[in-house]
Formats: sequence, structure tokens, C-alpha cells
Amino acid sequence: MSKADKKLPEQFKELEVFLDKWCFPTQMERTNERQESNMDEIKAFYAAIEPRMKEILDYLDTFSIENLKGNEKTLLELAYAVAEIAPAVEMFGQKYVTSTFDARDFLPTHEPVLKRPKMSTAPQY
Amino acid sequence: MANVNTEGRNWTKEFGLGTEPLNIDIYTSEEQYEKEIDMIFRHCWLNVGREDDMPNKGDYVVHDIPILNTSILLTRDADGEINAFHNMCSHRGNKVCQENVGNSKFHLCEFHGWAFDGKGMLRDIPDEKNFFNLDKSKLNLKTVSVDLWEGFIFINMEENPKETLEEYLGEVVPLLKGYPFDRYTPIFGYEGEVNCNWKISVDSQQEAYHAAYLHRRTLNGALGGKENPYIHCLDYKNLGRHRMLSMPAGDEPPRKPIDTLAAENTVSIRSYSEGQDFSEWPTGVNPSRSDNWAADIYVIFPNFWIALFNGMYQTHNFWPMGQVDKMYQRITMRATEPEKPSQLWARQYSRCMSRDVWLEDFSTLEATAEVAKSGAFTEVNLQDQEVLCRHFHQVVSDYINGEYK
Repeated sequence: MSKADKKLPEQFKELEVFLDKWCFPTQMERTNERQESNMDEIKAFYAAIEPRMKEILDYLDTFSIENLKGNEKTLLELAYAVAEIAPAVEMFGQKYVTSTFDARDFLPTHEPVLKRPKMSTAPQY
Repeated sequence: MANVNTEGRNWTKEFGLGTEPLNIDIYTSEEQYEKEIDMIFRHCWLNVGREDDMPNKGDYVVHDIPILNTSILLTRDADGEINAFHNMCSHRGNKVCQENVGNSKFHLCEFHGWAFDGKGMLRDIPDEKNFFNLDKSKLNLKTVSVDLWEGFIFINMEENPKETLEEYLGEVVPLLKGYPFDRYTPIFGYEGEVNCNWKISVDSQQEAYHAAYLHRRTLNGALGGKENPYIHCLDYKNLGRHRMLSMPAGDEPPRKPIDTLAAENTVSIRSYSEGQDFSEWPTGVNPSRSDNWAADIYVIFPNFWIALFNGMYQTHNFWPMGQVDKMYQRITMRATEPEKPSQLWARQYSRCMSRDVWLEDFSTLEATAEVAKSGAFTEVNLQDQEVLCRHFHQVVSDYINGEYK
């Protein structure tokens, strides 16, 4: 499904304006987006969605994990972007943790990543 | 600090260590680095993951280990046993398995299709009749010494290791017997190559002193707290070549909305529950039986690290990468699987928040290595709460000088 086709459940319609920028299937893409955004964009997303997060989780909990598909899966992926940017807003006050090690060189082993370090034992694809 | 008063203890003295500064060449000397590879890594038991990396028959994992000039193929064979081999074909020396992980009854070398089974036995040679006097009994995959402790897999490059893994681990074995390692599965992890000496990173993970300042934005009083602002540990143990520390919990950290929501739905590295009943726990977990316990860190010589929490545990593997100031680090967190979507989301928050805490740790690594050779300072000053760093360097020094007993 292309990004333009993605929709949210009816009661969260007004958050659809954030899908294009913040809805990604993988953590690595969300990490890249956080690092490539400016703090105003991050704060705007946070301000709009933070007050709805409890409601979003309650709504998602009416489904089982196995049954999160379509619009519900899209909603979860958008909520995952909140998990990505929340520390930037709530803890650091800046998008990056440190200027001396790039977050994009710290690779998740819990999802496929195309190019891995030589010594990796994690799946490539 | 509730329950345990460690003020007045002199851990460095109790460990039998001196108090003088260390020479910074522990991080920069190429001569020392070469000795570490030859005299430590080629002889010690080395962790290469855990049984649950390969739960099913036919599963395999490849650990490329450049400092040992080899690639290790771990297999779970048709009988469910774990095996370790040099991942090298007996035909013309190609790496047999080239994916990091997979499942296969047979391992076919990509070059000419020589086939080996999960026990390393050579099972098929295409066009075999055209070879000259092959002695197939000598062409099985070459085994590597392997053993398990509590489900953790260790290899040893010696054909006949001088000590069994259990002897090597010594006091660690009884201290942690009974911790429910099997109850938890990998829920996330990270890896990266870092331009620093491997021991700079080990040292960054074997003292709590740094957390009060470096992690002020993230852990924020969750360790130590107002009563113990410099995070003086509950206990330290000298375990021969290994060592441990026991970290005190602090105050409930100030929480903002998203962090609060996540804390309501999962365990994390900054949530410590009070009122736990420790009576049935292994003696090495919260060994002082403090009400104010956060986690214990066990550092298994030379390059394996375990942090035990209530309800989860974390491992780090630190590998030198062939140059004095190049390393690879792998971090894995294990806990229980989420059962509903809100927990799934909270796990994702934990993945991001933990990553950001580890990035704080990583922020010091290359930054230290970049100036370590400047000559501006030639010594490293360690305080009493950095006793495990001092102990580590003493053990390294003893090994490379042939004096370790």
C-alpha cells in the first residue's frame, strides 16, 4: 500500500495529516526521520498526538496483536513514531542524543537492516 | 540508602588492588592490543550468543570473528544439540554459510556445492569420482570447542581447553543458579562498530558513577536518587577474573506524558519495582538483599556483560576488531513478549528510550579515543566506585604478562 492510500480509523481522522511524514513500517526509517527533521516539526507532531495517545492505546487494545491490520496497523505505526520522537521532546530538548555518535550507526537487531557490520549475527533482510 | 550502608567500605582495598592512576596506554598501546588477542582471546571462553538465537533443529548462526581469523558456524543439529565449527569448506576454503542466520538441514558451500550436515559431516561432493584419493574422513567441518552455561553459548579456540566452561566461570555459576534466563526472549537489540579500543567501552559499562551525570537527562535520579546522588553501589564482588556490581534504585524519575504511558505498560531500564520478595532469588542477584535494588551487572572476562533486572536482562558483547582502536558491540535485551497492542507500543518506546540511553554511553567512546594519544594526560584516575575498571585492567595485565593464576 502506498503512503497516500493509508488511512486511520474514523475517530483519529484528523491525525491523518501526519501520516505522510511520520508513518513508517520500520524503526530505522522513523529514526532517520527524527534525525532529518527539525525540532519545530517534531514538537508540532508531539503536541497534536500526545493528548490522544491514551485513547489510541485503548482503541488498539480492542484488537489482538495478530488482528492489527489495515487502518489499525497504520495507527500503530504512527504511534510508534511517537515512541521514536518522545525522548527528543521529553528528555533531550533536541532531536539528537549526542553529536559524537550518530544514531543511524547504531543499528537495531530486532528488524531487518540491509547493510550490517561485519560481525553482525542479525538478519540482513 | 535503605537497608545497606556501604559508607566506609574501601572496595579497592577489599579487592586487593592499588590506588595509583593507570597509564592511558591501556587504551592505546598496539603492543598490548596484540598481546590481548594472542594471550586472552585465543585462550579464554568467549560468549557467542544464546541457545534461543537458534531454537529449532537446523537453525544456524554465523559469528565472523576477524581477530581470530575465522568465522564460527553454530548449528543446532538433528538431535537438537549445539555444535560449533570453523565456517570453512574443506574443498578450497570458501566460507560455507554466508548468511548471518538461517535454517537448513544441510549446509551447501556456495562455491561448488559440497554439502555438510548440522553435525559438520561431509555428506556430498558433486562429481566426486573426478577427485584423487580423497580421504573423506578428514574433510568434515573442523570443530571448535563449545559449551553452554545457563543457555549461553561459549566457544574456546583451544582444541582442548585447560578449564571447562564451568571451571572458567567459577563463582559466577553458583551465584546465578536459578535466575530465570529461559523465561525471557529477545525483545530488542542494537549493534554498532565504534572507533575506540574495546576496553574503553567495557569500562563505560562497569561503573555506576557516570550515570549520575552522563545519564542525567534519561535516568534522572532513577538510580541512587536524592539519598545516594553519586550512585554508590550496594555491593561489589571480585570473582577472580570476573566481577560484579549491584546497583541501587533511586527515586521515581520525573515523568512526562509519553514516558508515563509507557511506564504503565511495560518494564524498562528506568523502572524499578519496590516491595519485591527476594527470598527465593539466586544468592548472586541483589546479593545484599536491599529493598532499594535496581539491577546487578556481571562482567564475564574478557568481553561479555550481563545486567540482571527484575523481569528482564540485558547482555553486551564487546569485540576488538583487528585494530587497537576499532571495536564492535552488540546489545540484546530479553524480557517477556507483549500480550496486547498497548504493551507492543510500550516495548517500542522502550526500544527507543533504551537506545537513547546507550547513545549517551556511546557518546564518550570515540570522543575518548580521539584524544587518548594526545599526550595531554597520560594517566587515568579511578575512584573507589570505579573498582571494577581497576580490577579488569589488573586481570588483563596479569593475562598478557603470563601471570594470571
